[in-house]
Amino acid sequence: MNSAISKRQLQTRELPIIPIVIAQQCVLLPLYFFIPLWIVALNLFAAGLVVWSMKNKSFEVDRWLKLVITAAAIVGILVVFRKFSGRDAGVALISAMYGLKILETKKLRDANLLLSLGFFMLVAGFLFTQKPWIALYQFIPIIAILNALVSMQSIGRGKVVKRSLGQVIRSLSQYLLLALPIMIVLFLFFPRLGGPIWRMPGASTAASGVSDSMTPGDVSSLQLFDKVAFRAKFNGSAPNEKDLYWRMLTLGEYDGITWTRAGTTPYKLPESELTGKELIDYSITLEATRLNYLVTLDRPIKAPQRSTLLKDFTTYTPFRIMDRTRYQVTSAPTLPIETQLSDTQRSFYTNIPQDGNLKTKNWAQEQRQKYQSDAEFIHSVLVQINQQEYFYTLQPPIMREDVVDSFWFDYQRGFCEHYAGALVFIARAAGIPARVVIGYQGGEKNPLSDYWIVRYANAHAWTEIWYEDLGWVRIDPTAAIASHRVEQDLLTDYRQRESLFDNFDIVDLEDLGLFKQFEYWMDQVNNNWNDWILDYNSQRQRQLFSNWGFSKITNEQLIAFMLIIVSLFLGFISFRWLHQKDRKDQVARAYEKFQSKLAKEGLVNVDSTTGPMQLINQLKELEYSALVRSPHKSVRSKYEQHIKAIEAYIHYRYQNDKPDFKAKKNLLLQFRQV
Amino acid sequence: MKIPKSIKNSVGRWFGSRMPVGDSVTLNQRSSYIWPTRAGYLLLGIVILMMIGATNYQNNLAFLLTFLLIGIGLVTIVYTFKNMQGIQFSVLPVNEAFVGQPLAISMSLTSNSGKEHYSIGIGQNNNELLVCDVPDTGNATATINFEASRRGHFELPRLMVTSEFPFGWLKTWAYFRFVTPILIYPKPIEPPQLYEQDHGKDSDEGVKSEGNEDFYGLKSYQPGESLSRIDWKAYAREKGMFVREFVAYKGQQLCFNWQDFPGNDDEVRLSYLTFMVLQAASQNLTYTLIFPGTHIGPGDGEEHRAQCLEALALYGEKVAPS
Repeated sequence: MNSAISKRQLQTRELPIIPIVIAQQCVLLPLYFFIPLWIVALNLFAAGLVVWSMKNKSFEVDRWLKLVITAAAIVGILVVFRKFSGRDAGVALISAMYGLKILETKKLRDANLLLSLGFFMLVAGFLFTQKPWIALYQFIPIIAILNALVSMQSIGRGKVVKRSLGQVIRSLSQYLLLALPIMIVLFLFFPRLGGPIWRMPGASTAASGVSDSMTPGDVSSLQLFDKVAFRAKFNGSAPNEKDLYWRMLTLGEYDGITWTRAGTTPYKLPESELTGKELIDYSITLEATRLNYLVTLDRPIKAPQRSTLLKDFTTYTPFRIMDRTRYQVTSAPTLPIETQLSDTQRSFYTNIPQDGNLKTKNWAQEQRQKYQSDAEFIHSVLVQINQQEYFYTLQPPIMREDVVDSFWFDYQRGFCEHYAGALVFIARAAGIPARVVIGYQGGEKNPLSDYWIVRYANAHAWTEIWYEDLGWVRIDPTAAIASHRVEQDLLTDYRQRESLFDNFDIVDLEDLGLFKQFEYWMDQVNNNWNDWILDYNSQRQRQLFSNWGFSKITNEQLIAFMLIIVSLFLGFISFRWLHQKDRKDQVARAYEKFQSKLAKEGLVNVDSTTGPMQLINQLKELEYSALVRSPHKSVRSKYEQHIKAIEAYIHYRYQNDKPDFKAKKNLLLQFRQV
Repeated sequence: MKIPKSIKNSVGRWFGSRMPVGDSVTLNQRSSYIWPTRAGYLLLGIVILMMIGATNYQNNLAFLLTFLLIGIGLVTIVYTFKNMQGIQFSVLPVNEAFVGQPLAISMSLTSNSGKEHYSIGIGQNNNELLVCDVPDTGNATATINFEASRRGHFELPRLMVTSEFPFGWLKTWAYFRFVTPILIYPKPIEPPQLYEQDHGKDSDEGVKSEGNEDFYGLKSYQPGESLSRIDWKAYAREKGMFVREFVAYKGQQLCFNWQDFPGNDDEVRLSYLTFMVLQAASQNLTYTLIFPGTHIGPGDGEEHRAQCLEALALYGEKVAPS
């Protein structure tokens, strides 16, 4: 028997410190990876102090100690970050304050504040990472917070507080399970604003890969990052991996050291040029580049929305790509561009600095004389790269002056930027318009799905040479390097580069190693995560609803739909719960079934007031009258069996104080036999 | 603020119509109300903050978390209701109660739903609540003290049942009234100088009443008195018709009469009589109770005592149909 305690007792009793501390630390755990270690130590120390003082009543955390710890945290953050604003300093500060708040948690109100703020603190983690793992992790602190709240509410004599971890998770997961559909509906329907209300500075991550200039001589070691640059999905069959040249921007201006972009104008491709050309439709999900250029497969025929196709067939956006961006493009790989070149353009694309790299300049002009056409000349240069001792390396020597000369004649080793830069220089020296194109080459098909992953390591530079009548033609000098002169470790370490050279392996789906399989699988999870969760914005929201047949849905309609669905859902679950009159146990259900079976056979009259005793009486009368008609034993035993079952039921129901599992089992068996 | 009486009445009727009554009451959701607590408002504020943050940073994970929290909050409404549904409150047999003493009403709380119910608060108002858990089988008991200020039939005031379980964000409450016959007996007061008033004797001579044991003295015969007690000797001596008066000391038959306390207020007289009945009953004496309109006894035992007390409690009241 339970007896009551007064509410005042409940409110003034000691707080359940352990669940509260657990909840708080679960909230802070993901942040511990991103804030200075000493704040982590301080937070853990504070939590330890509180637990210690709970176990040892004689020890109490002194007010001065609290003050000193808090002041130390604030001063420390100021010293380390020199400010409180910005993501890192701000999160460090609130983490420290939130961690130290446990020292000040004495009353129910403090605890409520601490736990409710916990939900807010969870958001702070999303400022650092938005990977699926952190989203999944959220369930742990949420359950911990709810558990702490329940512990505060329970009077403690019930089974609530002293439950095993499994029981806690099971009972609180119910809330989460029912909350999930509501979450999904709100997520889909809740109207999103087009842009931020205000923008905070900071939160900058260096985006590597492709930049908008190229200085080959400066690089002594090229890092190949495995980080994903973008993903591409083809509607239809994908081109050969060797032909996957992803164009990003062209560099036409050269000052002797650095290649930079040239100003160019918007361009609209006449429809007529597309007749008979093979078209490739695909979508690209581009990671943040912090550049104004989109990646497209060489050569795009039309710019995606909100961007402009430029004359050099790159696509320009008026804003820098700060977030992961998705767009649809169509490309025509065989499309000729700019078959006619004006004189100004011709002189622009053949311009090289007057001084410097004289050796190469002279060499190029001499060589040009030996060949009939520009194309033959360029081919001879490629043959030279292939036949002579030109090496592909990621650790090229630094070349400060006359970069092209020292690369072409002295070192003869470099990576794509060196080769592209040198070829363009040679072509221009020979009076042939040429430019550097940078972007990405190749990609890795996810064999488990139908999209391509292109990584930073796929970043590439190649050239476009302008020929009379043909327009700009893609020439990749790096691909001309003989494969035995590609540094061996490159081929093994950086398979992304393999496709450039002749002998590359195709990943076989059947021979896919476990690790690789896992890697692809993870990437697919990530990709879907980006697609469906992180990138869901007002645009995708509209698109989704127009796919469902609601084009031009207004925000008001969205809200109305949302409210209706959520209320229907809540109505449904509350109706199911609140209107199920005393949920009957197994025995009661079996008895009812038995009773209605008898009624169906016409043996008894049953209404809602018929008790088991009345049932027995009815059966006894029947038995008697049946016996009068035919005193047969089987008749008797039939009724006897029924009566015995009911008697057992009465005994089980009304004369047992303890649940008796054996009796229950027997009883169920008896009812079933009928 | 003044609320027009008609509105007040109709509100009262509405509340009243939803309030279950009886000596065993089960709450349903129709009679329950729900509202956020202070912690609930705090959470609401935090949800709004999170929403603003999520919108501003266009952070979909923050949106998801916020929406999950809203979902949990909404589901909690149903859970909070559910926690208070299907509890049967049954009033337990009431001990006898006298005016001025606390009236302890015990009730048992049993679960009709086959589920446990946690942290159920019950009491007359928000400030004096008892909180208990109701087990899935068996029952919990709660005892609430009421103040009985008047003798007679006692109507239990409405009781409030409330719970903030599970998370303390929402508070649900409901009212109900036990309708069960409860009699409040008059406050027992020891009569002052009972015996002087009575016969001018000191009280230390013991309680005196008509009895048939020890000879006490003679008094004039009054018609109707037992002939066996007539002092025939005195009569023979022509001294008059006297009755031998006997004193019944403790253990003897007593008569408590309204008339014994002239000049006192009715309630005070009832209190005196109550005191005397209680005293006599506690010593297993036989006694008679006489007051206007009522003559009980002589008798003894529990039943007699209860009859006397009931009569005293109901003096002047119309007998309620039972």
